[in-house]
Amino acid sequence: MRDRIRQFLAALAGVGLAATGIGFASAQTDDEDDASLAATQQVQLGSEEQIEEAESILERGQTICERVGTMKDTAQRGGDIILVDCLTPLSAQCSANLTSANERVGFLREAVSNRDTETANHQYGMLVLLEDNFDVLDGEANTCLGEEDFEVGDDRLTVTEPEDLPDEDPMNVPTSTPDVPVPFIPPPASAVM
Amino acid sequence: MSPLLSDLVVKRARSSSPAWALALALLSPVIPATVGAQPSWLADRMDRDGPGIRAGRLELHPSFAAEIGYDANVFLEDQGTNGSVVLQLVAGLTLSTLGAERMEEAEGADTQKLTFTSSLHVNYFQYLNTPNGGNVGGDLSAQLVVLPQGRFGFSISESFTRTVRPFVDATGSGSPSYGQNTSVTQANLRFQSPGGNLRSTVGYRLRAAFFDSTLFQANNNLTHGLTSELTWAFFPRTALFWNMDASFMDYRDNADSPAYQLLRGSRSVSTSIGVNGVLSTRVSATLGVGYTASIYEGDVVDDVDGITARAELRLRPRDMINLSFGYSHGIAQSYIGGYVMQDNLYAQAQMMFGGRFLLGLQLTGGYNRSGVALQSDGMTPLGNSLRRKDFRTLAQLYAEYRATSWLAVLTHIEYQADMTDYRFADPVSDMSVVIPDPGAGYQRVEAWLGVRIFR
Repeated sequence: MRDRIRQFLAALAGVGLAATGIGFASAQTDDEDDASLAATQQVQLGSEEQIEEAESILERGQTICERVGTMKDTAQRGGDIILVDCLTPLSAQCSANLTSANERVGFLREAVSNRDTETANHQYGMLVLLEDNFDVLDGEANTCLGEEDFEVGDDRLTVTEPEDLPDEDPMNVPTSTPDVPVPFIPPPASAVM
Repeated sequence: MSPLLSDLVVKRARSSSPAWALALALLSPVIPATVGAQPSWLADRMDRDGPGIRAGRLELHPSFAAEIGYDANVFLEDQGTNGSVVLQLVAGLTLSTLGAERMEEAEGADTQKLTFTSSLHVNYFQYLNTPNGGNVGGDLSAQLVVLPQGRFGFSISESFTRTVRPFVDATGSGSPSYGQNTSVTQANLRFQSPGGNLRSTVGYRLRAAFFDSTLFQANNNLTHGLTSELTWAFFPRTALFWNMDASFMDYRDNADSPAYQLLRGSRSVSTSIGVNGVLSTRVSATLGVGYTASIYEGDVVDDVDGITARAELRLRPRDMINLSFGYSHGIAQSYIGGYVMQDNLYAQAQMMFGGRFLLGLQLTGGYNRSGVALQSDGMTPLGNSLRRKDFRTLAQLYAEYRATSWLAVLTHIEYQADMTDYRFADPVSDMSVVIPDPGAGYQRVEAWLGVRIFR
């Protein structure tokens, strides 16, 4: 009985090790595979469409990096050291990703002009991954102090009133109430006749 | 329904002024404010005007009315009442920048940078059976509003009112004029949020009240007032409000007057908070609570302070039927005793049938208690008790039939009573004079019938 248990645990450990090894091995090629996968998914796009999409990704990256930078500057002006510590590495990563995205857009343009479809697909795939990175950095930046301070959301609340409400302006508060409009004034006296 | 009359009905429905507020305007609550009743249609500005005449960016509303009536107690006497047939002629003209209806049709009501409204009414009273004969009353008002929809705005207004109907028995002094003239000048600065939901107003008010006859000129007074309001509107159509009013009142001519009541200037402050607005498609309400304090010059008149409150429920069972019920408790300035504490209950109804027939009903009942009322020596009671206490009531029914878009037939019936056992004492300063009718109570019934031409 005890041997069976040992065999079961050994088998379980073996399966676990194998799974870990497979996972470790697969992690080595994640980026490349993801890029290939993204490229495969987007391979249906034409060259011009890829360039348009790449420029959109670059623009979005610039927006996010500017926003993170503004948040960091605001925190520095406010003397919030903890927030500055949280945002500084994110801002640096965002800048690095933006530089990379800028370069890859250039490579993509070059590959398209050379009709090098394989290289164009690869560069485009890498840009899709960078877009994901921008989104992750954006979310982490919001998490640094809570989204509410910077995510104001929709700043206009629209309500629809029922059409048949009484036609009153609540801002015009009536200042008086009805009374009998005769003042208390004594009658004048007359000389005794 | 004719198109013009239809427009009038639509205008009425669109107006920002609720119908019940019109009836409130009919009867001024502050004791020194209004003497005598206005014709029913004058109180209701919204229903008075027709579509008007457009002249560029201005519109004109001319009107004329003639009424004949009977007043069963012209001088509000307790005993030995005098009744009289009364003729009243009223000519009116209002001039204003384009109203909301025309602006909505043209370019939108929110585009006006400046609005101006003015009105003039002259009414001639002729008593046919009493010695006081005829007199001319009326009102003149003008208001200029700069940037009415802007975040910052400014307004200045002037309102002059002259009433001429008798308010006390002075028949023993010949035929004096009962003219009372009141001028109110107001300047306001307004601030509001971009959406207009939060609004703050600070202002200055100068109010002057003066009488024609030397018999009453001791009551001439001048009041400087500082006002402040804050309102916050929210869904669906409701607002929280806060207001404050500080008043500085002085009697101008009491030193040289033969009048024997004691008059003292006052410094008053009142503030209130509350909520005003719509509860449902058929029900709206105003609730408020506040505090008022008045301090009087010298040590003769008692200072007063206390809680004030008001509650009003408004119902609209149908589109053209408005009902309101309310209660108010307040403290107002008084010519007798310095102040008067007022508790009022009221009910009002206003109905429009078929766009042609307007019917209004008002019932008001109140209990008033004045401060200690003394003669000018500061010691002798003015009457048979230290404080004057009155149950006062007003029942009013008015109706108007609009035969065409410019002609209306109207009638107005009113019962007014002051039920009190208060009797004025003869002046101690001069033993050779007496009060001809010392009883302060009275009852009055009046009925009117007339025609009105308006545009």
